[in-house]
Amino acid sequence: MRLFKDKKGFLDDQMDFIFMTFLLVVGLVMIGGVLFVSVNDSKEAAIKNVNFVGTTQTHLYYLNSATKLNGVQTTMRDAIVYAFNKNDLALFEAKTKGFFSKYNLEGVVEVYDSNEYNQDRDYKMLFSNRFVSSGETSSVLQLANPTNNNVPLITVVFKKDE
Amino acid sequence: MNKNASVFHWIPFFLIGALAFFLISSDSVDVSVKEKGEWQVSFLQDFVYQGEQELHKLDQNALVTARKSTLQLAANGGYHKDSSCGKTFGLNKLGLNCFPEVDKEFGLIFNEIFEGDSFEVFIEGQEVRGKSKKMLNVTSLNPKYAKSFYELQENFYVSLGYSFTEYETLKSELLEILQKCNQDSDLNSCLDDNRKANWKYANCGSNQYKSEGRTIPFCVEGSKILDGFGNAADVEYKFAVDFP
Repeated sequence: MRLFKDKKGFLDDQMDFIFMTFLLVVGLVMIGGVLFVSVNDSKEAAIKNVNFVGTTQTHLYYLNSATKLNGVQTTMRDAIVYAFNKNDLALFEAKTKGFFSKYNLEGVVEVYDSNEYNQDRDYKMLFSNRFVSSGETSSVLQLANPTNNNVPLITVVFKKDE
Repeated sequence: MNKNASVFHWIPFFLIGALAFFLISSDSVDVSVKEKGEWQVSFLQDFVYQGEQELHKLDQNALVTARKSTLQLAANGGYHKDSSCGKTFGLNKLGLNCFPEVDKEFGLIFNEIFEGDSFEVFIEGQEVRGKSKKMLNVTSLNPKYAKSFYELQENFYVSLGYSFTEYETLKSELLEILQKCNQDSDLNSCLDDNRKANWKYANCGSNQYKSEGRTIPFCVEGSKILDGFGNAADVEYKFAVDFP
């Protein structure tokens, strides 16, 4: 008791108290700011990852989905390869539009010669039912084209709106 | 300057210094929250989807080969090479005691045509499955996983849009026509009366009756299949039948 009586408390005057409080608040605001930004970044990265997985799954499903080509049951990837080799854009658009309408999707599908895709050149076939893009996720997969020696690989880029 | 004023004079400099120290040290020290699912997504992106892509390519090559094999098998009367009953008109003979085991014959043709490893081939209706003993190794371009690899079995599974059950129908129709026209002296008329509409003589295009003694060549029109270029092609079963 005597010890405390002589010290008059640990803080000398009111000014010190205000200053300490102010420093504490500023420190906590700065730490909170850094954590908030990093949590936000982490959340956005997690959402981006989820969208990537979702888009790639949809892309794989699109390529494996059943369709008819020249009256014979086959898969979409067959139809894409056939349309690419025959340069039949109308067929590609009709088949892809059917898939997007069935699953109520909005996005873009671009088909490239894989060599040209690696050189950042333009696509050979395009489908788009997008009106306004608020953000998209892309998935890129290659298809073999065994009957065309000039273009042995085709790249299909699937962009789904978020 | 009095004591109180000096506090206000030096504190702002101290604050700026403290802020600068904080910003520099928080940059070098990782205080961030790790993103959720980073390893899982990397695994999918760098390994699983790469593997799926390789399997897609295998499926595509297998599909082209399976289609070619189907057409070749049918053109050879369901045999890879020769029938046990011999050949006439250059066609394998089919009959009561000689009808091919389609699964086995198809597998032989498939492995002959396919460029690459051999497979154990299974047929189930319209589907063709291939099982390989070889493992597919998928490595990542990401330097973070340079020492890792992902292994999956190099199998394929394709749908032809054509059913091999047509061979069973062909067999039952063949046995029926053998039963009705065996021993008949006017073979041509008997065959005209009893053969199905898709059973043509010799050539599916010309349908011209030919015979070598009582051995008749046939061309039976099957369903359609896509050829290697994606065009619809008729599966034509070509064989000869002995009517003793």
